[in-house]
Amino acid sequence: MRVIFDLFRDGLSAIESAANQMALARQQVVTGRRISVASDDPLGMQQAIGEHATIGAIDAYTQTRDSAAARLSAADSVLNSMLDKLSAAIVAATDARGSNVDPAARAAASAAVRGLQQSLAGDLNTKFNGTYLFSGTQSTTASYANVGGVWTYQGDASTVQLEVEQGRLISVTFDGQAIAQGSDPTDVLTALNDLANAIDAGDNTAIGAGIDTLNRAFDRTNRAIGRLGADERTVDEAATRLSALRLAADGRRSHLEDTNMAEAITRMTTAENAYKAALSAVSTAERQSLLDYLQ
Amino acid sequence: MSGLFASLTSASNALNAQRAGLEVVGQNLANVNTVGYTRRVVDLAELAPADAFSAGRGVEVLQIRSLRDLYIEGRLRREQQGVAYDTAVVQGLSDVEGAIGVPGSSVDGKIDSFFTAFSTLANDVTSAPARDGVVAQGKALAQAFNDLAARLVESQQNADTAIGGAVDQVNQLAAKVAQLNDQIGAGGPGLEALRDERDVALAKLSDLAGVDVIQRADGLVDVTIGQGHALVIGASSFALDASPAAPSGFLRLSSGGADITSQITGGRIGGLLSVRDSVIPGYQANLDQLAFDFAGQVNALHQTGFDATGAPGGNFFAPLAGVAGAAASLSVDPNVAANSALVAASSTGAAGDNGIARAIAALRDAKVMAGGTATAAGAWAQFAYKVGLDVSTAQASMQTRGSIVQQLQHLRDQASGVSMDEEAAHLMQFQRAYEANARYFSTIVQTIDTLMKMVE
Repeated sequence: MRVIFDLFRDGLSAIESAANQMALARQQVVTGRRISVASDDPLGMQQAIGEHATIGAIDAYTQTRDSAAARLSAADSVLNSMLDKLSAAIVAATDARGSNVDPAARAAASAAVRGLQQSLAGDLNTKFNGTYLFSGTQSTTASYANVGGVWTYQGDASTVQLEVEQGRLISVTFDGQAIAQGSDPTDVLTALNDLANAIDAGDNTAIGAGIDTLNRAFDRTNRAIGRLGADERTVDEAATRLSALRLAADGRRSHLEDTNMAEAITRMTTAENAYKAALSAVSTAERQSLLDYLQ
Repeated sequence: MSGLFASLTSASNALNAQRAGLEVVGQNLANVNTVGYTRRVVDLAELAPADAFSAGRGVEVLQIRSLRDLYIEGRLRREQQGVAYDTAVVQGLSDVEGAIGVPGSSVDGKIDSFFTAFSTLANDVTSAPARDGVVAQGKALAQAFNDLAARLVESQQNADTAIGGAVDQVNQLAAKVAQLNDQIGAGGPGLEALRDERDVALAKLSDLAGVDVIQRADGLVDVTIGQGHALVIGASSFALDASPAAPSGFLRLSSGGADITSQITGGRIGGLLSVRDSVIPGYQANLDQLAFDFAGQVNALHQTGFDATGAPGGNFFAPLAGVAGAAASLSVDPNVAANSALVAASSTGAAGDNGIARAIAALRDAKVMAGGTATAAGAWAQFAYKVGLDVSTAQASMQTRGSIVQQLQHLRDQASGVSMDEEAAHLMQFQRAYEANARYFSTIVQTIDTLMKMVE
């Protein structure tokens, strides 16, 4: 068989092939990326896009979860504050009830109740990041307004919900009327007003009715705190899950996209050696022929 | 006397034959690096004796011929067509592949940011910056679709331009082959050089257009393109015509008035046509469908909502006329683009309700694209996979065919290539033979001289 080595065609082809391999290996080491274009690994590319989408979704849920946690925390704080105020009002009313309470004590008690009412109205109209927490979905409107001496609920019964995980909704605004009034004929603010008037008048029957109303408001607030606490736990658990999911997705993404450095450096070294070998082989390929031996 | 003079003639013939051999060796060595050169050999034959009492009349040069293997040449041309086709596909799609970029950096990244913007808006629908963010991300997403659609059209146009250039080359080469056919048909010296030149032209022609070469009994070749359309018949060539045609304005190729564009499936032009007329339109259809589905899904939800003023929502994206061209024309509705308060985030009209913003954000995980089989990111991933697979398949095919071409080139070299060692051996062989014949000639001359002295 006649064996012919074409220096330019075969030699350059071998050098180019080795150089391409070396360049590819170098690129992977330098960029740290296993996939630079889709054709590097089409299936890997497809999966990596999926992982990026998953990570994007997890990050969005995490952002939402953080927002929900902040709102729930604020609402929790406000509801506990309301609880304290209701307790204080009940204590004040209880102290003012009876036949041996002097007018000055009643005046002080009624003043305290009126002060607590104002403070409670402030609680119910709490804003967080510019939106009212207790107006349902009417979050740009104050929950309660005193219009012509009558306290009026201006929100609605719906709530703003945030999706903290896929399919898991958490309410981050509240139906203020459900807390402040429930099934009572009057809301707690009106009830406090009536209670203060009853204390001023020394009307023990009305004071007793007012205390009962406050106790029911206390219970409703307590139940709201309980529900909110459950939501806070859900949100906390979501944080743990989202963090774990993020870590796992990032690991999968890295496995698909990032260069295995040890492997890439080994491949680069091998490619460099192959390149040098190709250069050497080509440079010596036609160094000698029979012509060198002819006299 | 007559015998000695016949010996002189015989020696002279032999010297001529060995000189011819040396000339062939010189020609082979001179063309060791000439592309398409096929090595020559000199065929010698004994000159039979004139009668039963003489040894013979020496040697004669029968012919100097090229060693070419037509079967291997044909296979080589066919495989080179394939390599040229794959190369054209890889080069034609490199821009598209580049536009897709790495995961998270192209349309998929914009899709993700768009949904995240709606998610952020859902967290606080009363936030004006969040509304602005939704509009900005909507614009960015539409721009990403527009840019990629433009890139696809640009790639088609590049392929079209390259086709035009390749057709010019095909016509030049066809004319050259016809001219060489004419010269070969006329006969005379230098036929092998003409055949070599014609083979080189045929190889280039095959690279360009995937032609069929028909070897004729008279030594000429006919060349056809497509489904048997004549490109070269003997000494005549028939130029391909490349003219722009509506509606695309892309070149259509015709031969003798017949449109043969779809018939050219090999060589560089075949690859470019495939990229221009088949591969990229497939991508455009996928991208348009994705843009159309995306805009449709978002608009369908958006229209059920209420904007920041409590008014019913309209379209978020400007309505698309149809699937075709959707990616190129996708844009945020001009009213929404001008006033982010028109983003419909509320499902009830209540200022704080975020039902629609949440629902649009939830589209991220919903399989509502591609006929309900994929999420938006999934549909994009499928698109990227298809492009990557097409390129890597063409690359793999190119490498495989490249290896086959290399093997065939080695086979061709075994038959037709010039070996320095072999030529050196031949050089020595003819040189020694020439020396020996010269010595013989000298001996005969001396013998005649001796004989002449006897008669003085």
